[in-house]
Amino acid sequence: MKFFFKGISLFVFVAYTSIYFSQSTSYCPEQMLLIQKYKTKNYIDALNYIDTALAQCPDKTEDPYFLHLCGFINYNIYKEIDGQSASSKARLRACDYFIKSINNDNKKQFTALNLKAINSFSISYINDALMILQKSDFKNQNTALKYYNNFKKLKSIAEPDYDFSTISVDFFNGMGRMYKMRYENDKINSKNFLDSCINYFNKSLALNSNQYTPNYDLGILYHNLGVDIILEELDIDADLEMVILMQEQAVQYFSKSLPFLQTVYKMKPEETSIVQGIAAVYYSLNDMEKHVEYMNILKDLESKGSKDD
Amino acid sequence: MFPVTYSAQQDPSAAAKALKTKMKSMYIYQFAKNVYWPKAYTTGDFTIGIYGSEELFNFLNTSFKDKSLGQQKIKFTFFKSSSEINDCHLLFISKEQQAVIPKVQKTLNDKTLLVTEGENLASTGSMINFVYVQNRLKFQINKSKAEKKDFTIGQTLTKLAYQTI
Repeated sequence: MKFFFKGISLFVFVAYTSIYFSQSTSYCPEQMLLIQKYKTKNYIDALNYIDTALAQCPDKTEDPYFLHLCGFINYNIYKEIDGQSASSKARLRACDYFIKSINNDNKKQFTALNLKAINSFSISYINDALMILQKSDFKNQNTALKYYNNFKKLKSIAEPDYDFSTISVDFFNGMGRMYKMRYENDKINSKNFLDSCINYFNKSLALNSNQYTPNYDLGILYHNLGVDIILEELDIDADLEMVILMQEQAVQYFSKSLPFLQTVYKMKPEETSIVQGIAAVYYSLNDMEKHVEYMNILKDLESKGSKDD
Repeated sequence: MFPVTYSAQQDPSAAAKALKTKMKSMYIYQFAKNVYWPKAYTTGDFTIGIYGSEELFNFLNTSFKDKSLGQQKIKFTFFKSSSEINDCHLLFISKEQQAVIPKVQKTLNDKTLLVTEGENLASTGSMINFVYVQNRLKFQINKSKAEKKDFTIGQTLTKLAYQTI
């Protein structure tokens, strides 16, 4: 899995700290004290002092500079105190402040810097999301989705024309594979993971249908579902109605498997596992003509492979 | 990339074969359950003979080994050649061996319900015949032929048959 943006220095800018008097808000000595705490890197003190400053100067709640400053206080807590931890609450707080600052910055005095900070946070969120997937950290899979959504929201603000398709494909594939692993670890009790897995692979293919991995995974997954429903799930004491019903489901699965396997076959016509899968699906569907056709292709590939060895 | 594997069996063709065998086995067991034999044949063991598919016999003999039909314990027999075929309650002849059906039919008595897997009932002359219709394993019933021999085809079978004549 690719790690987008990794290696880019995320935080190379600081808040405006020259004393700035907004024309629209009143003089506020507490704000000056807040700036002082920020400049001396007493970020936690500064954070705790924000409420005091707002209590004394309530009009600052909509002051773009004050909000910009609060954003950078949290930004530095995230960076220097929380060590850029994914679980840092300062990151989300910082983003909220920067967004509010942008929304109130009619003169666009702080927007450029706010947007840079937001862009950096968007990068940190997608990196954290992809890291969860890379580590197959099952417990935090929902968090990965939350981070991905944060990334999209923030990136859309920082770069309104950003094309999400490439990174979304990576993310959806990672999510799909993780749900697949979770389903395969406990097939009987994890049907919901199977649905999620299929959903994510389909989302990925909707963005780019010409991908090998999700096509292959879905092809094999549907094939295995067809096999499992008969060999594993169909009880030998099941009545005739159930036998017919489960056969119907198996046929549906095999029929769904076929187009995915045929897509990857076109991409890798010499991959024996694909040819084997297609032959098996045709056999299961009792299309013997096609089964034999692919078995012959398989035979040719295997004999070619043994000659190459 | 995470490894992606076929489940159940490493060889997907083997899995596909196992799947078909299980389906046929389950149908055969259901035929035995849902057809009622003349009273004269409802004592002793209930015998199911298989000719032409050792895989099917092995599956039946393993999975349905301790099953009974009423008071009758089910016993499975595999016939290696057509000359070995003897009286049984239900005889299955595989598609590969359908050429022997006319000859075998002459030797069968009224006890035996013949199950085949040919193109259709007319070509096999059996009472129940497996057919594939739109990728699905289905069965046809020659009810009138079965009734001539005093078999009673249960309502479930009649209802779920692909075709009844």
